[in-house]
Amino acid sequence: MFYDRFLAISFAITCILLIGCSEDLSPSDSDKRVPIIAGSLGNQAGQVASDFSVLDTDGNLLSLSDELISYDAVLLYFTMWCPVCDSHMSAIREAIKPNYPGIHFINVDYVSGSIEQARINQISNGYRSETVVADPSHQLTNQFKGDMGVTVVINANNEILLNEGFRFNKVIDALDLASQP
Amino acid sequence: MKKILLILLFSLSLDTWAASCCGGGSASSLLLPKGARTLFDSSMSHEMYDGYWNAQGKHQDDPVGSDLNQYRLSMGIAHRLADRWQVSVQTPYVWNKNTYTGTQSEVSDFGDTTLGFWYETFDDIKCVWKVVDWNSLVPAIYLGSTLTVPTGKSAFSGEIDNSFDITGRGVYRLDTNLLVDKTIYPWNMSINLSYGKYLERPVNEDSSGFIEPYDLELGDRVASGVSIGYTHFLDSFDTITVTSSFNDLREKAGRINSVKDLSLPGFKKQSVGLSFAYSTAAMNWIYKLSWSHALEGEDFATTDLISLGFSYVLR
Repeated sequence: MFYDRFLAISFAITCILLIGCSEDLSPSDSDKRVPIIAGSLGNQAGQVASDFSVLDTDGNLLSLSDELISYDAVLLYFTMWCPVCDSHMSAIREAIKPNYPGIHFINVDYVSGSIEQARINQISNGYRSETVVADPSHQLTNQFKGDMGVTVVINANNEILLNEGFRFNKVIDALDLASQP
Repeated sequence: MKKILLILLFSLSLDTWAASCCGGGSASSLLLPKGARTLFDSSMSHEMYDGYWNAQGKHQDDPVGSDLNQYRLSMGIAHRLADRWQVSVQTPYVWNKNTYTGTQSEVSDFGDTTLGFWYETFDDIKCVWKVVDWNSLVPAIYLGSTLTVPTGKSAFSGEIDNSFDITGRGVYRLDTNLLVDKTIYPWNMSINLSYGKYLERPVNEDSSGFIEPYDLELGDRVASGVSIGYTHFLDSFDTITVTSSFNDLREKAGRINSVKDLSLPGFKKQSVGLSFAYSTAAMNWIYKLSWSHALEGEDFATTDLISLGFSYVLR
């Protein structure tokens, strides 16, 4: 009797866990994006990015406003030097970047505590020639809600065209849009 | 973080099957021996990260000064439905503990749950002491199906603030499994094969917030493994079994809106394992200690996994 009750209770607990603990059990396909006011300051696609200034791992000061004078757009990729990040960064470097010479591709290291450590990680992971900025104060991470693989594209009008997890075709669409005269 | 997420999903990998139909054999879990009615299983695992392999199979170090760990407490039950049929359920509770020089995180939550359904192609125990005829060589063959249910928190659930919070993969997966196991005391050998298919799911948010919905389908995966074990009988008839294993796991590239996307490149991993199992003479209590070491791979984390657990078998 005890044995049967134990099994029944275990089964019930399992069912409760299955039903109650994750949104992934019944994912939604509805578009829940909140409408934004075009031109408002923020970090969502369609909003305007506020200016920022950060140091890259070569010690150069990069500001968004200066970058958008020199380039058609800026792409920020948030990396934590993981295998997924590496596959994305490799795809950006080899399959995307050569086709968009007017866009500045910047990798944001949001896990290193200093520029020196970010530089070490950059070199050891094989991205010596790429632009990497360290974000030890989490300035960019907080501004854009940056996370592993999050990719942000900002055009010459400071408008955010993309801010979400890396998807190759979605990034291409945003860069095509940013490259239009 | 996604590499921990990936590892989590494979924590219930084939080497945990390596079971002997006789019971009490190897460091197995969630496959009932013949004649057993129910099995309760619990284990605590510690996965230590040591860099990763890139797409070319070259090993890369983790960020300087980082210390990345995942701990899992797994609880499971297997129950016999009929002479040849058994079912099982296993759920892990996951702790992610990650330290970088610029940030640190400690989170915990449930991981993904695995439901198993197995058919045994044999009626009598296939473990023998001596080969006397061809029948002595017939192995125990198990055919199974396992469903991974995304009860953890994934990168697509919107329940996470960042990737450190991930404890599951967020996608249902159905595996078809074959396990061939033969024991001629004191030796045991098993071979396992598995083909897994992820179910497509919609995604309308990630850690950045709500996004334009799209359909996600991860790539099919193939897992295979072989193990060899040796059982030593103590004077008390308790047994100690040492098992070594080799496992190969591959996952193809995934698709977004039915189109291959470079953001889902797939991966490959090969690992070796060593396990020790102590079983009481009645074969109702089994204590297990195992270690798994990743040998090589592509687009995958390099880890060592140590696990300590026990099983209790009701007959």
